Amino acid sequence: MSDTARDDEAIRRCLAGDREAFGELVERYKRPLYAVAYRLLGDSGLAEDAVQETFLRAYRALGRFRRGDPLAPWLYRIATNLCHDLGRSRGRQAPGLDEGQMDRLADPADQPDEALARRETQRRVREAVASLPEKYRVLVVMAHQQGMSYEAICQATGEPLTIVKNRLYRARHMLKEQLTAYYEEGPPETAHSGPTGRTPAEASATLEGGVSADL
Amino acid sequence: MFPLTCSEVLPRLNDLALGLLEPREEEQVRVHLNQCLSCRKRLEASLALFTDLTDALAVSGPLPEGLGDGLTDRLLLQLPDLPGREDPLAGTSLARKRAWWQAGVLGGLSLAAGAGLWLTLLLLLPESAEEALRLSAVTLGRMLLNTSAGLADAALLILQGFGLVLRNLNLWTLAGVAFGLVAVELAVASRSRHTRWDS
Repeated sequence: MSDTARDDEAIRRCLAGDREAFGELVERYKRPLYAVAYRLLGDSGLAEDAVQETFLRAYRALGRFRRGDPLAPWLYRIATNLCHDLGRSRGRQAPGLDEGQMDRLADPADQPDEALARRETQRRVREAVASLPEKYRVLVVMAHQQGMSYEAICQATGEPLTIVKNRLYRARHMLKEQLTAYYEEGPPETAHSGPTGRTPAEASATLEGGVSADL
Repeated sequence: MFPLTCSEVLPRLNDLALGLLEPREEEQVRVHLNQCLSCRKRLEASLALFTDLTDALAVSGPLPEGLGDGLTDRLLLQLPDLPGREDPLAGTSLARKRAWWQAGVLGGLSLAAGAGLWLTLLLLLPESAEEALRLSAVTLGRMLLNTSAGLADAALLILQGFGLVLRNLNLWTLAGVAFGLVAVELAVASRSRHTRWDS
């Protein structure tokens, strides 16, 4: 059963009064929603609030969700808009670079030097992403963290394909510009086959309009 | 098959790195890459960046306590038995921005309708329209010279202008006024209307 069909079945039951079906959706999407919110806000407490509010709003609005559409982009749309407002109420500052427990831990197989280099690369990249304007940052997180397709990103942002492609192109260009010096100083060992063992193409193709299962 | 140039290949490199190109297009890009060191280096930069992005943005480890077991129960305590049809984005800045846009568009249409009505009057009622234009110009000039006196004059002259229009009342005028009123009503109503997700 595809993700969309599975979600649609849960939504049908939910609309019929089966509250446990909503629990299934919560369990399925709380982690990817948290991952997106955390990277947009840089604060685990705020991200937690954003996820809870996203589910509350989704439940109250489930009756108007267009059945048959993928659910994930709809949830991301609610969550990213809440993150936008939460970020604004916190003050117009770039998300923090919390190196807390939710950041990917170094692979135990890494040698100490490699682990250190990898953490430094992660820090630099996150710093570069955090410095992007919000409208670019959201797209980068959707595309490169969640591996969402262009179509799913369009649905989640409400922007047309040309705008999404153009913004992603510009965002990647800005990131390359910012990171060029770092790569030239000491190119990380991660090129082409990352420490996650997942190539960019695999990451992108993880799900068609859905959510990465590998979070 | 025509060989691609660097400027044609450049915008396709990101999609190639992500495996998103159509087979035929990918083949064309690869033919170019075989001959162009500069583009190959750019592709390598894209691959390195994407790998690092995937790694750096990933979030793993345990979820915060508030999102752990029991989240659904806590959420459902705050929710009605059945899902509703509320606007999921109500109250967010996006919804407010959209409502202002809609009001702006309808306001613009109202202004256009007013201008259209005025032009219609100019064409259909040349004498009264010329007189009204003259009165408007006089009003504006006086308002600029003396605000308080100008405002009183403006009120008087606008009333005179209405009188001219009313004396020449016809179907076009009525239709224009009705359209203007409906447009204003819609603009006001849209401010309080909820934004639909699928709108």
